[in-house]
Amino acid sequence: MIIENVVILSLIAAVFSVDMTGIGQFMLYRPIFCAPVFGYLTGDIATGLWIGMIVELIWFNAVPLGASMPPNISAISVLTIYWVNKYFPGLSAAGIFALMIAVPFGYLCREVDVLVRKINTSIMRWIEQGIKESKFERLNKGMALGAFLFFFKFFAFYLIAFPLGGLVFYLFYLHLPGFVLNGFVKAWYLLPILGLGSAVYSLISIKIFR
Amino acid sequence: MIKRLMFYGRVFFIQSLWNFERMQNVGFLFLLAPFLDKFYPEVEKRKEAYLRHLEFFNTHPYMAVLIIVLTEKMEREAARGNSNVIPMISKLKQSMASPLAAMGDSFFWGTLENVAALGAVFFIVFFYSGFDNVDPRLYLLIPLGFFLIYNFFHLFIRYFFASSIFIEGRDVLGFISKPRIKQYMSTTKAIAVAILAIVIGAYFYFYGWRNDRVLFFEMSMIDILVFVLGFVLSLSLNKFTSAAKVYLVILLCVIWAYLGN
Repeated sequence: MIIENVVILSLIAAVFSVDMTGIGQFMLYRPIFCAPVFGYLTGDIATGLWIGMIVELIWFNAVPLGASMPPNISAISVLTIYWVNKYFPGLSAAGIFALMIAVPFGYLCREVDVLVRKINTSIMRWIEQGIKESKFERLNKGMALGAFLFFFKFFAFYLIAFPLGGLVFYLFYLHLPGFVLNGFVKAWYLLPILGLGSAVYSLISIKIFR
Repeated sequence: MIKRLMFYGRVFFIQSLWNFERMQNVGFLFLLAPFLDKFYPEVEKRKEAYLRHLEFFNTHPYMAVLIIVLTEKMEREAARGNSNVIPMISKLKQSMASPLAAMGDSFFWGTLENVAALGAVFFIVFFYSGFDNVDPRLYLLIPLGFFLIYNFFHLFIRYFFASSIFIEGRDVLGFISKPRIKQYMSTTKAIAVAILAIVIGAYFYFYGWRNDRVLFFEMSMIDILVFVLGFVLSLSLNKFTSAAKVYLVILLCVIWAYLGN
């Protein structure tokens, strides 16, 4: 691993995830970008590219639109890559098992995001009240607080999910029977097919507006 | 120039205080605030202006800048004493938000991102098997290429919109006229479909047609048939969530392995 420190890795992962809604929208959060980069930082870019491709294709049209939030696909990618590269680097079966554990974490991360957005409503009201009292500086303070909360929630989430999920992944993986691992190897090659099917469906369903 | 860059820097924070009640309202005001401060030196008028922009607002984050450009021009009019403009500001924001959201969603996230992502997938499918012999740092070019292609267009268009606020007479609405955008989108979608077709063919050839390992059967021909079956299955599972499909495919593979293949 180029970087082993969980705090630094959590900071980098939070930068990827905050791009999804909070700041920028440079597509740093897309699995095709964040998974290989994280794979490189944790020592195995090849696994990062393959997992990134799988998650990108399967969640091809997963973008946050208004109040509709997809599961956090950068969390799914980054957590999968971290666990597999830390405990069983280069093993495709381990990659699939890590992905299985990471998917619920992606949904959990979305729920944390929803919680912060609810907190944002309170900050918005605080700003509004401030403006009514001619305290215009509350606008900048509130915006800074909102951006910080978006970033911090992801940082805290990764700081907990990296070791916690890793422990579950490591302990269970060691006890999986051979045929299950064999099945995971098959899934390593079949999941991209599933993704390609999703991509075809997504492209067909895109409507050019009238 | 510094003013332009400072405003351009702000546009990346439009969703930093996104909330369920009024969505991008604070982000919108945050972008407009430096102009309102200039137009309304009197506290009471500035307060009124700030408060009228805290109403509900939501659109595509890139396209929001366009509405801010138009709002700034109307606020300038209002500050000059033309109070008839004020009721029209809210109407303009609300009437433009939805069409621009649809345009931004389908152009940036529905087609441009897809083309850039499929380009990266194309290189992964072609070069994955040769990873052992090459300096891994070279493979960083794949995600980097995705990032650069997408952001070349994204940053240019956002800068074009943002800089319009400082340039009198620029036909910013003409730039996004429907026929032109529709043409861009149709072309981009056609490119995405073409890349996807190549990727599907290449994937079936490289990973289904291999004699050096047994994946599902000992014969490559039947392995490819399993891939085709998987592809058809994935197209017919659209009612399921993506996560459910992932678990279903893994479960089927494990059952297959358990049955001794």
